[in-house]
Amino acid sequence: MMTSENSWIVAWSNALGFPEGLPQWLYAVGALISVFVFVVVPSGGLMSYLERKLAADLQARVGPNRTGPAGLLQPIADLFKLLQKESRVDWSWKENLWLSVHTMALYSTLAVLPLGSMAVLVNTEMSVFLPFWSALVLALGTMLLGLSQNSVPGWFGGIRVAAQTLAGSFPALISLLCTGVRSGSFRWSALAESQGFSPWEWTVFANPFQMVAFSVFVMSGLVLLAIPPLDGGLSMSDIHGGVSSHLYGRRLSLFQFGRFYGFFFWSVITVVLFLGAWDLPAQVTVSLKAGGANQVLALLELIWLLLKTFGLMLLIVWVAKVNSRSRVDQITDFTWKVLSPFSLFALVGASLWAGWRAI
Amino acid sequence: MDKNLIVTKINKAVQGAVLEVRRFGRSDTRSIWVEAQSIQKVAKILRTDPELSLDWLENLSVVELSDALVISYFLQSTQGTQPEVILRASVVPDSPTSPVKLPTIQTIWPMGIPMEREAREMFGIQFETSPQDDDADVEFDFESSPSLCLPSGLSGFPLRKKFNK
Amino acid sequence: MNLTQPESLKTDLTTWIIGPYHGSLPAPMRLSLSLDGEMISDCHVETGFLHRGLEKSCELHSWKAAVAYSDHLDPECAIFGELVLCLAVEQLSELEVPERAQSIRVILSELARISGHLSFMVRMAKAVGSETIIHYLLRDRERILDLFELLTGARFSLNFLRFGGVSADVTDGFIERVLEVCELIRIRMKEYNDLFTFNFGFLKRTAQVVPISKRLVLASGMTGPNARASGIELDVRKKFPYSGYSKLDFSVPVGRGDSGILGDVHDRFLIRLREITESMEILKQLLDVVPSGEYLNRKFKRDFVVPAGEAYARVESSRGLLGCHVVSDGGPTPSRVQFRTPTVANLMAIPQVVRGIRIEDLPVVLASLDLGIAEADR
Repeated sequence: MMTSENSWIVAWSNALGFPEGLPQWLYAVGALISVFVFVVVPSGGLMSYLERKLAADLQARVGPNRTGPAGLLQPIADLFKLLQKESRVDWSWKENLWLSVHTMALYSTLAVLPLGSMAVLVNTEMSVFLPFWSALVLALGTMLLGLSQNSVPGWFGGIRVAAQTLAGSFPALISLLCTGVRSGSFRWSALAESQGFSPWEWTVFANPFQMVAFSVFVMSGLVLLAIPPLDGGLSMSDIHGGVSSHLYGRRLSLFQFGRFYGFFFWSVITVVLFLGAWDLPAQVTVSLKAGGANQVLALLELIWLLLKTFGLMLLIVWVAKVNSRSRVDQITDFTWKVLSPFSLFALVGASLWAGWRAI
Repeated sequence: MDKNLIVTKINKAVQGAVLEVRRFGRSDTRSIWVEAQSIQKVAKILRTDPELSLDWLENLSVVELSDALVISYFLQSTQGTQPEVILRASVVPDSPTSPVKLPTIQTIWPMGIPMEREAREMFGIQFETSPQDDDADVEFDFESSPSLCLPSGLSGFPLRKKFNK
Repeated sequence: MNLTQPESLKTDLTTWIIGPYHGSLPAPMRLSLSLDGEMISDCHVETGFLHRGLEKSCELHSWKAAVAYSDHLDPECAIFGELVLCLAVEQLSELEVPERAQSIRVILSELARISGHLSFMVRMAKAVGSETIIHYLLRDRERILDLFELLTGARFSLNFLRFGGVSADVTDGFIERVLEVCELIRIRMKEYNDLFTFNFGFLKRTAQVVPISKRLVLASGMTGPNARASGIELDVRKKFPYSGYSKLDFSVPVGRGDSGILGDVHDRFLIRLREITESMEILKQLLDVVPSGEYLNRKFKRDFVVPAGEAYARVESSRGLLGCHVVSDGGPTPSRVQFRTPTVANLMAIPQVVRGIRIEDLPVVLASLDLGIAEADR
């Protein structure tokens, strides 16, 4: 159904000169593709550049500085290089299976990626949980990829990824519930409206239990998606990347991009849940809406959201570059024995807090 | 007294094993020449006797001097009971490409396992274990793996002087 | 050999052969592992990939060429190979080394020790996945390699020592630069400690992990920092002093089990940090007063002939006790040059050490043993 929330798709396509009255599914596909091409891929490029520059700064190096001014065209150069890499061996049925599972799991979350008050395709009570479930399916796919190889690194990588995901999913889910407890609903719009522009109105600073929930959510997300520094399952030093040890060329870039996308959407969700979503100062929102400049508002919200997302991602990258990688069994121990009790504690506390205020 | 302690003890245990006691090069270390086939028994005495307790084999070196292979064991004592001592023996192979046999000291000084392996590869000295070897006091089962450095199928022993001549 | 499963669950062991080239191995070597889940049940070490026939090559060429061959024994800290050969030949031919030459030799040795320990730290950091500290360590190691280049013209294989001394005198400004580098490393050590040594993540990977018992050290003949970390006090510089070490005032660090268990990976790491500090102490003492005089015994001329005889010398290299047995028959080429290298004992001990640990600990353990396969294979 075309609701008022996704009528922006119709508005954009009309503005761009497409014929009116196109079927529903065409609008949906167009929206997904445009989100992917105009938001996710440039974010990937920008993030890779920022990550390399930040790492270089930390490590007393320079980083990319040849392609374009200060190396800004490096992601484009990388893209061209990766696209023209050939894979000599044909895809086997196992890799096809992995690819379909991977694509379905990962990119289906594009539909629920919250990018602004008017830029969400699916805004229901279950929106928040779809990325979570797709992370689990993604882990299944990665495990299948690992187990389908004929070598020990792949098997071990697959099993480790499965173990990490199982461990990380429980505290992630529980701490996710804490935000819903505070805002009363799991719709993206409701979560965004319950927060505000200034940090004091963000969920994370609302009460101490939300702060615990935030930390648990971030860390269990890292465990769930095997993001450095908690990426023991894909450890480079002993199993050469585990599941990706036999991938090369375009397949490896697909895999790496999938990992980046996982990191990206988890960060977007964290920002929307805990760090104030896309809320601009109230006067700005009201004046833009009154003036009918919806596209400007959507763009500003998107930029603000992405800025906060990049900030969070760079912070995590910073911690990853400086510290060492933990062992897989230490990660799962930590998740089961520390993160899970804390998440339960946060949920109970947040519920009590919300219930107290209601009385 | 100290000078002759080792020799006395060896001779008491293995009759007539000691052939000669000489200075090692120009240093003060003494080198004791023994019969080649009695090496294991002599080694046992050197290690287990509490007054000697030469239990650390620093180096096992093989030199070919005018057709004879001279094996030197550089020994030390971790208990500090004896200064360092060098045990030496010599064997003469029948031909430049034929191996020789010597008793092994693996069970007495396990740290000699890789050194013996190298001597076997490079000089063709086959170290034999005897049935009476008691490995009751061998705590760690270090493995002695087969030839390492040389490609398989190489005939002859590289460090001998007449190799490939 | 199932270490982790109950009897009712029937599982098999997986075989995994790592090598000769692998990210977790410091140099070409092959490990055949039998894995029980993630635990290593058995391990078989195979080396010999770096066998270059150094000892035979020494017999085929002149005595002076033997010095050049000996510094390829351990390319990272080449000076120790040269030093041990020169000491043996000097003992053999009763050649006295002037004091200035001895000081220069010790300066180079201690600088090589610091450089070797910095490389060790780089390998440890790579094994646990800390990327930032690697660049800092390599940047500081470059300063030491610059010093080598300033004095000898080469960064790694120096070919600088001669029988009876060194081949050239110290250049102008060398002493000051060495002191500068010492000061720089002293300041940077604090940075390393803050960033890496006591980092929570690093401690989790290395503290109380894979201790090596004293009995294993004594049985396998391990020497050097690995042995000292497990509590065995053996340092050639103190026990069999050479090149003027007896006149220097320094202490030998021994493992204390600071992180819980004596002889664990963190101990082996801390010991080398302390050795760097001690080396800097030695350097400062030497550079305070560099004795004047000749840098080469003038008896060592073009037609120097090594008399017949034999000798055995030992030095404390950055990995352990390095020995050299030299036999001469009075001719133009050596009759036998045999090296006793410390890594051979470490390699023999690996299967004992590695039994029962997780695969993820394997790179950390191998890095902590500071294996120099080049000198083990010769």
